[in-house]
Amino acid sequence: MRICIVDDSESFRTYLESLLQAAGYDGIACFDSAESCLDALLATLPTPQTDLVLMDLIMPGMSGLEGVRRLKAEPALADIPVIMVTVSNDDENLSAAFAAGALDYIQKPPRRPELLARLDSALRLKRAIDQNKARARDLQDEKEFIAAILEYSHDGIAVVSRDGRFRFVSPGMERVFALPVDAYTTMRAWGEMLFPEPAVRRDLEDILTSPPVPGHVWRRIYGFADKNGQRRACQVYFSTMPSGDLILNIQDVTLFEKQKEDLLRKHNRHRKDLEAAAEIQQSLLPRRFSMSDSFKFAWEFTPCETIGGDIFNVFPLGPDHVGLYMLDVSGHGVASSLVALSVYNFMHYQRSTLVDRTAGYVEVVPPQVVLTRLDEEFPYDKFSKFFTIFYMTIDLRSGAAHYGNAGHPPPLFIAADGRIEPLDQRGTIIGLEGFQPFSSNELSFCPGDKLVMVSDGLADRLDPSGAFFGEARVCNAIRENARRPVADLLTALRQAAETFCAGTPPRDDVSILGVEFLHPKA
Amino acid sequence: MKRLTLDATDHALILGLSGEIIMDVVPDLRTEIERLVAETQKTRLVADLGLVTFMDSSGVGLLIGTRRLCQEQGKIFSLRNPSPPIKKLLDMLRLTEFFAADQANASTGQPA
Repeated sequence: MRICIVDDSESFRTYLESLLQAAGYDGIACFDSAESCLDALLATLPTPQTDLVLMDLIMPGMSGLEGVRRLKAEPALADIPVIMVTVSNDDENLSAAFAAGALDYIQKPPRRPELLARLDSALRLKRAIDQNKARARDLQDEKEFIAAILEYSHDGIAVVSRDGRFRFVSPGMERVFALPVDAYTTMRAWGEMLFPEPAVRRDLEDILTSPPVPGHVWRRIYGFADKNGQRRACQVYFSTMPSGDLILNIQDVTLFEKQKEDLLRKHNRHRKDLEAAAEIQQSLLPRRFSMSDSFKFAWEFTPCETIGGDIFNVFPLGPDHVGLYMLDVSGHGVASSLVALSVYNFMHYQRSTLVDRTAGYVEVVPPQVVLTRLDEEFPYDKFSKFFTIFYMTIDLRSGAAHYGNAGHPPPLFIAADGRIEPLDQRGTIIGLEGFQPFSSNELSFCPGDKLVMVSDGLADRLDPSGAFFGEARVCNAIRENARRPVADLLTALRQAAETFCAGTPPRDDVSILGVEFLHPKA
Repeated sequence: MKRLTLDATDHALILGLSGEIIMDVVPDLRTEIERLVAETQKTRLVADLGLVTFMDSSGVGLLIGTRRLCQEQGKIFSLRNPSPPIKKLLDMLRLTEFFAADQANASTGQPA
């Protein structure tokens, strides 16, 4: 029903219909009265498909004029163009029809070219109207969609023109700052209302004066005071529209900032605890003094940031012996350092772990027995930790040494002539509850001989590219400095590692302990 | 990076570890592995170390703990495919035999 023909004369309806069909029009419907046409059109609502009505002016019943009036009074039909068809120049009725909204008229009998030309222009007009309507509808939909986004978006969005006035403020701004939309006048007034800190207001002024170039985004976090005077925090993203207007995307980040502060506070407390634990760990390390003129020792210790499980000691064992050990508890952190401390206490030189006084004199306990005692005392299950340890006793009268090694990197023996020999003999780690027996090995120090012990943290140090310092570099550094006094040798070794690592902090404690036998004790 | 992938044969659950097995990742891995050991119906667990690039003492502790846990539950735990640095580490700690012991017992039919 694209085109409706309304006429009380059947012959004229038929004539007009065939004329239009011959001209290529289809979808033609004929009605013998204005009433029946209107009924049919109303039945198609809300989506009328009709593009044109040809309406006889004079009909029995409802006149064509009334038909036009009714049709134009129905908003959904008002866009349909109506061409009046008249027998004569009924000027009065015709002008009334135009006033009621008719688009055009033709006279009976119609002349074919004129009729088709008027029909065509009426249909073109209808198409243009339809297109405009559709465009307007799309625009309206889009507008409503954007309004809904702004309404329901949790963030506040505001647009500030270059003169500092708010051009747009989204409902989200009300929620973030608890200010009605009409309270936003200029950015300066807004700043004074909400941001007590002068620095924030200055920053806002600066951003308005020189906003980010289009495509760039600046982020700020500002403290603000809500209407109850409570301190809150908002995060603002500033960006610039091509027009030069400034867009502000604002979120309330009070909770987030508070969590961050809490976390930072906890972190600081945790760090202080770690620092205190590290201090305790370091206070246990042997003091740099020589207990006997026949023997010297030195050490270098580089703790890892999170505190590790390294500990070492050098101590007298009765009148004629020294004992020394280096141990490394698995993992790092406070738990590992507590286990290290516990082992340190167990290994205290006054305890019976290391010396036996039952025979009335001090007898030095052999290293394999010490390792066995440690293994009994510190099973893996106790702390879910294991440790490696190298333990040695030296008889200062003769230079005769006994040692046992539980999984620790082999110490390097450096003879007075510079020859280097790793002490490879070693057993498994402490904590496996007697999985394998430990053994002791012997060694004899001549004057000038040295021994260097390291924890695996040294070879495992990384350079900025992630390469390991490695055992080969450890050995090289020792070889190059083998003839220097033990303290200098250790310093050179530490510096070699530091140079290689170029500022990358160690991931585990790095311990280096060196001893040098000077001469037999008199 | 995912540090634990799972695979299974008829009798064994295979835990494929990869990357750096260090203190930062061990607690999560431990929780996950403990759960797997408790839930699995398999009688053997195998840690595949082929893709492990570095392991610190926490990582070694994880292996020791897993072996103990398996022992308690009557399961057999073993390692396979250690890459050269990991092989060297286990050798340095003299743990190669420790981790082979279960397997030896299993193959001779003796209880672990």
